[in-house]
Amino acid sequence: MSTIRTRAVAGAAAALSLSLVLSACGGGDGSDSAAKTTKGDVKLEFWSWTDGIEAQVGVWNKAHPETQVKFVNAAGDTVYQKLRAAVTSGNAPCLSKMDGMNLANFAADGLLTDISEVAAPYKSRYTAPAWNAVSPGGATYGIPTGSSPLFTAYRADLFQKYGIKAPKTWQDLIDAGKAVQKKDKGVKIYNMAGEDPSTLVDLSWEAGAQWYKLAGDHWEIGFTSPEALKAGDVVQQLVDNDLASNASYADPGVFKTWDLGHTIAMTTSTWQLPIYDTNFPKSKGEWQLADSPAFDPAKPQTSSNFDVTAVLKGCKYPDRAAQFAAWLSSSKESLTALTDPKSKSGLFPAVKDVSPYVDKIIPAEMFNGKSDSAQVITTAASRVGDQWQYGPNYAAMYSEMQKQWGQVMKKEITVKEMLTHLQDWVLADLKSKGVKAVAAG
Amino acid sequence: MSSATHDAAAPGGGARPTRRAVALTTGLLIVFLLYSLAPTWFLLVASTKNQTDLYSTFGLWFSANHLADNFQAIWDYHDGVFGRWLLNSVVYSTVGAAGSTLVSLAAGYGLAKCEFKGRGALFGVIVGASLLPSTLLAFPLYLVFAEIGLTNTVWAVLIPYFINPFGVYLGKVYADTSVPTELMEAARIDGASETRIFFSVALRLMRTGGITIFMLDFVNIWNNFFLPLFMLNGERSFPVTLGLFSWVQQAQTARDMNTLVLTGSLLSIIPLAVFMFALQKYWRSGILMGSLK
Amino acid sequence: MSTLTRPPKVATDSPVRRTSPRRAGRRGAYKGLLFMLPFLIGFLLTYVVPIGYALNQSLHEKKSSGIGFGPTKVVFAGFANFAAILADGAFWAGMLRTLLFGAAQITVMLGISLLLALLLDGIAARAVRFFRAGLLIPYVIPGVVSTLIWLFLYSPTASPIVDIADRLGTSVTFFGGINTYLSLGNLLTWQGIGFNMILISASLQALPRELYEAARLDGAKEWRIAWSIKVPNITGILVLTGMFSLIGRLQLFTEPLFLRYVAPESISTDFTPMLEIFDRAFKTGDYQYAAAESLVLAVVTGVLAFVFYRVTNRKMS
Repeated sequence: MSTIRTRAVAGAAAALSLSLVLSACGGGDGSDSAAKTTKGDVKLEFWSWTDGIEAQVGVWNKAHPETQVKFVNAAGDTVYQKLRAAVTSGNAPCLSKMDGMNLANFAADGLLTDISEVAAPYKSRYTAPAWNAVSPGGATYGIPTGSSPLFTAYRADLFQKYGIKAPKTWQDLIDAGKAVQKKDKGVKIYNMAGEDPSTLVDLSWEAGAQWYKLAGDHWEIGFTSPEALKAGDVVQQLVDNDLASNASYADPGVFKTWDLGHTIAMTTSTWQLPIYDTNFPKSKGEWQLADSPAFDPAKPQTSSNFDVTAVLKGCKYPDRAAQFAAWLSSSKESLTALTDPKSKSGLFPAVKDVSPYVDKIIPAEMFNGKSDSAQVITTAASRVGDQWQYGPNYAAMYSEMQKQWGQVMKKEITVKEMLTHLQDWVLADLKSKGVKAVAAG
Repeated sequence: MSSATHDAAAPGGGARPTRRAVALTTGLLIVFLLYSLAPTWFLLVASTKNQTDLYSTFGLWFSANHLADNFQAIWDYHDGVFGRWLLNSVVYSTVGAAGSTLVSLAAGYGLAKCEFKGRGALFGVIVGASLLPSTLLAFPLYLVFAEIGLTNTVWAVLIPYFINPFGVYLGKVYADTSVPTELMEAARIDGASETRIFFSVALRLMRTGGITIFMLDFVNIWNNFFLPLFMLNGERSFPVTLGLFSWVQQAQTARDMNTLVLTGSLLSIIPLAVFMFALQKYWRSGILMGSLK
Repeated sequence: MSTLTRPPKVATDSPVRRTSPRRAGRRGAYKGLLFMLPFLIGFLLTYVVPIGYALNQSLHEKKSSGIGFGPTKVVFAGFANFAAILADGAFWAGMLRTLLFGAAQITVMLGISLLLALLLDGIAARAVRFFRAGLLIPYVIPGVVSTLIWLFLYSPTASPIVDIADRLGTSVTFFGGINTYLSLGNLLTWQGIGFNMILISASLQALPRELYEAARLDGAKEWRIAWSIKVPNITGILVLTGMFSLIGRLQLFTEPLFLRYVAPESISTDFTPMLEIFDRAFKTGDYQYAAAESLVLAVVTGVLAFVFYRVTNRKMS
């Protein structure tokens, strides 16, 4: 807990109104140039809510007396808002965990430090899509931390029972789903959560769509491009034919949907694997991993969310901050500790070669041993499409999409209607904010 | 009015109700009692299970007992931070309610016993403010506190807790009803200063009211998670409600937290329940005063 | 958090008896303010300044330029935010939804509380203590925790109720269409009946016994006495309790936020005005607009409170 500032309260109350008026209109001057090399001992504050990171901060601090990192466990739903306010009031930490979407959102509001120059030496360690996630609009604002490439897990025994095979393409998946429906109405091939349009994001990413595409000095908005509509059509078919269950991933008993065989395949990722043994008491040992279905088998792509460590505005030592963040997420020492399930971090590296870290995250009892789980995971990590970009109002768009997504799940509107709406909405919103954008194609 | 008279007055005196009426009355009460208790029963049962049994065994009855394991898991989590949360809740609730009680009684007393220009208007503003949802204010309040560097200190939650317009309203009601102006006059004639009159005469007379304000505040603060959610950062400063919320959120992401959430929920109820039932007498009489006067 | 876990609001109604101290007048202003000083300073800091700040924010909006990355400017926008809110159907739908739902739920809740209070009025004192303690259990459970418990009970996968239904060969769903409101209403009612019962009990016990002693001696049935004598005499309290609860319902937030975890397609991010404000401010970071929405909500709350105040004042006098 911080210091007690009794006097500040009384004094500040009076001077407050004035300072508020002044600061409310100040957006900040922005132009932090961050190229200089820091000399001497420094202290950095770092907010995160990933388990196991604190221990690594301790390891770093021992070995690097010149850059001491103060770890703050910033759990909770409101951390992004707290960061915003902290930046505005000038007491932000130097570094914070974020996801790609929020990094873009913060960058768009000028709340991050452009570290393109000091980060450049670390670029080669990470995969291209991971680096994209910290570089919205071309400038780099952070260092990738972890990735979660998608692949498929399916009930091998039930697939056999229903006479279907692991789907290679999305069309395979839909056909398999229909075949299962013919035999048992209650069994679904897939799940789409009602709160979570990420299924559509993932499909669009895999289809090679670009909702936001930077074209020189403006954005091209492509929610209704052929690729995006192709992805939307898969969702539409799953909805129309009742091929997907609607278990919410936030539902405390969500895994039962699969454990009891109501839904027989799922899109999954690295961070979920370590908790499977405890959550699939009935069906463990019957599962098998496969590559995520593709749109174009000749050029299979998957998608991934990225955890990143962002460098906030006002950070005085961006070089040290980048150095620490890069050590945390790319050094063998740190990654070996963090990818150990014992750390409970759920973290999977965003570095180019993930093979040393794969074996430990594979659960012992979940899979039937008939496919090479490690191979599936490394393949997924190498197949993440690198075209996806986060636009400046991505977070607001996502919020708008969430509202519409619920309606799509309830069959009140079609995916195409939703995409058309989002296309218009994003263009109008960007225009009202003074950002240059045109419809793609 | 004391609570004792109410208890004595409760059972009907006159005509004896028929046996059927008694059975019906008791039956209905039992139904609602079960309704009130069943979810708590679920919580009790669930906190004895491990993650696997939680979903694979019947929810309203016990399976293998893992209560001790769950306590251990809670204790192990981030070096026993849960204990810290409980302690924080006790501190925030006690200090916050005590401060609020004092501030409210003083202000209520000032409003009730001293005539000054604009008193009526001020009272109106206070009543109006007591209607403003605290959730609504939390957001701008956060921005203001961030400006003056108060966020993430204990003061960020304590100061808003101290200021409770409804407490002032209650304070005024209690001062009106339980501090006779004649007594104050008498004390004045004896040469007592105004502050002395307040502290040694008025406060004593308003004791029941004070305890009521304290209890209501204590419960509110214990239950509040919106303000700490905005103001506090870094889990060691969380009250237990916010700590549980942070667990719920993690339950969605990387790890199995549901057993911790459930057992922690059970543990978090106990201190408040003990507090409430220990002070039940005051609580009821105070409510009565507050709501009827 | 719900008002019903926040007992205080209820009593605001009571006609304040003005026992003006006559001679305190001279020194009054100075002394009165002295006693009020701690509160007034705090009030300035925690009410006046934040509201002023929100007002200032609500008149501004954020602008960027170019490709939208880089510093944004907060520029004066006049009433643009308010104009947008006025035209925002979803926001007003949320407001209306909350009010209609609140009115229905509060009526049911107070009905049950009244019933329980009347029942308690008619049984032996020792039993009263037992039942009262049991019925109050939900009230001593923090709102976050009770919502969590029901979250599990409503969960399509983890709920023992669903489990029982499955075993009986039927199925229950707690969300979708009217079920969403029933489930949310049940949660709020469960939290609130105990406290409101105590409140109504207290009013019942404060009724002068003469009111119904005569009827009792005449041999009137208990339920008759309850319905024709006790209830009419506490209608005032009931109406006021109900209305203040309704005002409190406008800020409904925690419960739908949590229930969203299991029923996201039924409880959207603009289900209630506070959820919408939270989403704006915390998910998209548009706090100029969120501030304007907060003010609109505060104004609606104020107008409702004022209307209620006028109506009840007329009714009471």
